[in-house]
Amino acid sequence: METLTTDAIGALVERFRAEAAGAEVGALKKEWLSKDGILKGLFARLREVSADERPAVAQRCNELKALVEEIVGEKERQLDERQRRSLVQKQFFDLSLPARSPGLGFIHPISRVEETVSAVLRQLGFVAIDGPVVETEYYCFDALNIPQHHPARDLQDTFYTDTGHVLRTHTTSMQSRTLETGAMPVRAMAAGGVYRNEAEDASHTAFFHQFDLVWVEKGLTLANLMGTIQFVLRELYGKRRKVRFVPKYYPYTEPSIGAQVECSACKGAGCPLCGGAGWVTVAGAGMIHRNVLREFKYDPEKIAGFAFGFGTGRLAAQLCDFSDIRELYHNDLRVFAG
Amino acid sequence: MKLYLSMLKQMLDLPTAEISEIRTHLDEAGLEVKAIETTEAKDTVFTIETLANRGDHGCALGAARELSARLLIPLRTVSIATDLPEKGVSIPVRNDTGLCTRYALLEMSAPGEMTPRSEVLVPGGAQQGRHPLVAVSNYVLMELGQPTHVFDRDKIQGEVVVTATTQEETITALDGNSYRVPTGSVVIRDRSRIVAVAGVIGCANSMVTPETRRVLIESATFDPVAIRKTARAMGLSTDASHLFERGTDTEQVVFALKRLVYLARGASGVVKDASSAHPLGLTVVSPGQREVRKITLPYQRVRDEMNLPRLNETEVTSRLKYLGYTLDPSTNPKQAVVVVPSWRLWDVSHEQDVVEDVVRSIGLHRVKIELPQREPVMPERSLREEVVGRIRTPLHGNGFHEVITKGFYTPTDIAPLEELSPGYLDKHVRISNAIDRSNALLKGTNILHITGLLEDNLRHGSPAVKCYEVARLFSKERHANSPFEFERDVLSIGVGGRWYTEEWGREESTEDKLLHLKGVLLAIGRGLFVVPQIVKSRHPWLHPGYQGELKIGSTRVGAFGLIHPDIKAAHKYRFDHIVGEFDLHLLMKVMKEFSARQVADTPSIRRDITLAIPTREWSSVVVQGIEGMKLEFLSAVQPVDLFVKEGEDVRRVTYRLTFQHPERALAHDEVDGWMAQVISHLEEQMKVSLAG
Repeated sequence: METLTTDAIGALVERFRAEAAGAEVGALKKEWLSKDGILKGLFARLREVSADERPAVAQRCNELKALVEEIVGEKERQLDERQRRSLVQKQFFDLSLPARSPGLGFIHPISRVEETVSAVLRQLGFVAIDGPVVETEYYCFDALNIPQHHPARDLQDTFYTDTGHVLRTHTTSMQSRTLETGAMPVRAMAAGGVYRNEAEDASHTAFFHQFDLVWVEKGLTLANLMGTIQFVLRELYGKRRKVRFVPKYYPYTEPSIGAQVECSACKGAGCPLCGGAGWVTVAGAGMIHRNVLREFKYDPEKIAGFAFGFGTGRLAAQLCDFSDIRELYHNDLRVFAG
Repeated sequence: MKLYLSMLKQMLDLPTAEISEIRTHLDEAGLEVKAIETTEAKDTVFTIETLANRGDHGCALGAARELSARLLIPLRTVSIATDLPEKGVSIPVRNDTGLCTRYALLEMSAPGEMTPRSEVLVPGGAQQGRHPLVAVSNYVLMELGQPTHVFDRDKIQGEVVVTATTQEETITALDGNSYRVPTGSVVIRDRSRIVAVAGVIGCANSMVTPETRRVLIESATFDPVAIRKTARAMGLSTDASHLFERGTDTEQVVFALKRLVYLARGASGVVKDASSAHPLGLTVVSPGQREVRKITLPYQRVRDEMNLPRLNETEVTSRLKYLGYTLDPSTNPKQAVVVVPSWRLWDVSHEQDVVEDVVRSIGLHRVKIELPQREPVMPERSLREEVVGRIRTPLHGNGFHEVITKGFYTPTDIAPLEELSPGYLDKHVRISNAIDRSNALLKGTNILHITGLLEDNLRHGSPAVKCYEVARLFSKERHANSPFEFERDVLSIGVGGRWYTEEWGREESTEDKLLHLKGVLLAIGRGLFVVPQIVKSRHPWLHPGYQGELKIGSTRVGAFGLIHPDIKAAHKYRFDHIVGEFDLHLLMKVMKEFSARQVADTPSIRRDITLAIPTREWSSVVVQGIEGMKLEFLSAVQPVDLFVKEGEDVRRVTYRLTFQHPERALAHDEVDGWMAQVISHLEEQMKVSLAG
């Protein structure tokens, strides 16, 4: 075998270049880079070269190796790309087929309203409280300045249970239970289901939802109550929605007021939805009646408080554009799914 | 209450003819207009929802008075007859009960040719009835709010006595129906029978007819609670009872009769022939003494409430005068001392009542609104809010929709539950007075509502129905973990139809859906930062072979599974439904706060073993058995494969055991040693063999 020289390696370079122009990458790789390949053999023969010439020959070998690796590498990349392109051309999936999804659940519109209002009120320091539905007449009526045979009890046709209790007719019963603790100051909110013993129609159900809050502290005024309501309604409806207040009567508050927002359907012009008024009542409120404060040992000459509440269902129905409040409780999930 | 614009205009010079403006004034005065209509005579009628405590609002005069104070326009008084006879009626009149505070009886002639004048009667047209004087009586009620009742004098025998019944009696009323009048009711009697139930309705035995020639017209005030009790017991609510229940004005008793006489006369009233209807006598019993109630109102109180520091005291006193208050001479620049008008003695007793009147008449729009100035505090969510919030995330992410179901059902509804769990019915809280029979029982479980909802939605064509509810359940048996005597909160879950929303691909089995649901329940547990597991259960209303229980630590939180076939059959469900019910109070109890988990960076070693498990045995038994060995570096055991061969009474379950040391790489020899211990434990202690 001839001694390895730089010229011989130069000839191999030329040979490689010539072969590389037409050969497949696999064949090139096998011939030049495999463990039986030309390069492996060249480097094995380096020890036969004289010490003087070895550095130059070795350098040429390395140059040849780099060239082979570069060109083989490039050819491999080109091959990969061609194969990938070919594969991509063949691969296909019909994405018009239906998805496979467990779906996305939603929160009930009533809960949505409750959570929104709670979040707003929490900014003002209100704490959520919970209480019984099967309630005593004391907490539901008597403590709230609604004695037996008071006309206001007509408004709240009551379910009586065989345990001698009533089903709470309003979440205001939670006001009684909160004030009973004697805490000061009080900033509490209660949401939940209430019950009225009446025939059901588009605007009445025997089971529906309310939200109540109570704030008791020294120096609170009607102006503060209205400020709080306005704050909440603006958070709910936006600052552009007009709000007005009208007188109301509730036995447990005095003065009592109702908060109304401009009808979303007619923008105040009057329509069947708002009974031609241009306004929709969304909340009832008032300064806590002195008899209620006294009942729970608060001195009405020193301490004031206010409360307001609303039918969560009514707000939720507005949110969903329901003209019949029963839709909220029918649970036809196609309606809510949008 | 119907308010006729024509009546209002008789009493007030309204500043506008625009109906929408009048409506706004009424709304802002607390007389909320619910509807507006126009009569054939082109009169405008407002349907008004009055404030429940304001009897005086139930008439045109009351509305006019509010508008007068609101708009600072003087009120015109209506014309009345000034020449009522001084002699009494032709029959003895007696009041035997303190529940009647004033009673007046006017006798009038009423010839048959009396004809109502349409232009005057239009407002009361709806009540034009048997006799023109009845129409006049109704007109006075709508105008002044004082009910009067017209008797046929010739049908009254011997005397008129106001008294309270001592036993239940039966009457036939003007409407032709029979009613039971309860004991203690105020009634009007003649010598032999009841002729009217005071304040509620007259009797047919003394009613006027076109043939009536002499009448007795009653005007009175009664105890509101007594009238209310009687009306409720009789199941009646009349215009008169509505007003009497809220309290009427003793000073108006005779005034209303004078107005009635004035209207009944021809020239200015409702009857064409002036000579035909004239008063013959008037008797007033129990005239009583008018109470003079004085209340002191510091002006500063109004200024504070309305946040109007410069509110002028003259404005306050002017509005009070328009509302009918009179100023006591002791009034001074710091406070007004006012005498409460006779028609407000029922509802005005304290300074705050007067404040409310002033605020309403000034107008809520003038209140300078202000949020209370307090230190900002942002409390944390309550435990219940926190748990519900955390539960929602995995449920919504897996397509569960929140629902709200009603709180009642009937004994028939729960009959199949009672069959499977005898005695269940007796635990229910029952409603004693439900109008609707479907509201007979407060629900003790939500399973029926949820399955009913799933069935309905599937029948409507929804392919996949998944829902949940945070519901309140009721029982006479106190629940240990609930703060309430008869109730507790649960998380109810339901799955009907498919798990995936789209109807394609391979069929989903019940087993698939149960395992999907199990995954959601485990995710709920992880959301509460606890380690949940599913264990065997024996819930009576679930299919015995397809149910499990969610267990967190040692607490069993609730069960889920396929609804029992007996319930499915009894309710004629077409579909199989999966339901679950989990105690929310227990979830609140076991919930933990988030804490970061310590993890090891060292490599783990996994080993699989395949075991032969009896067909009806849960694979988790093996997991629990291996975990029970408490091998120090065993970090996980879980089934990874299942093979069932037709005809065999065992299943081959492959378990993967993962070993990991927190600080170093484990050697295979060490793991081999532990695996030998595991196999020995399984074969000797648990009698489970390796699958061949």
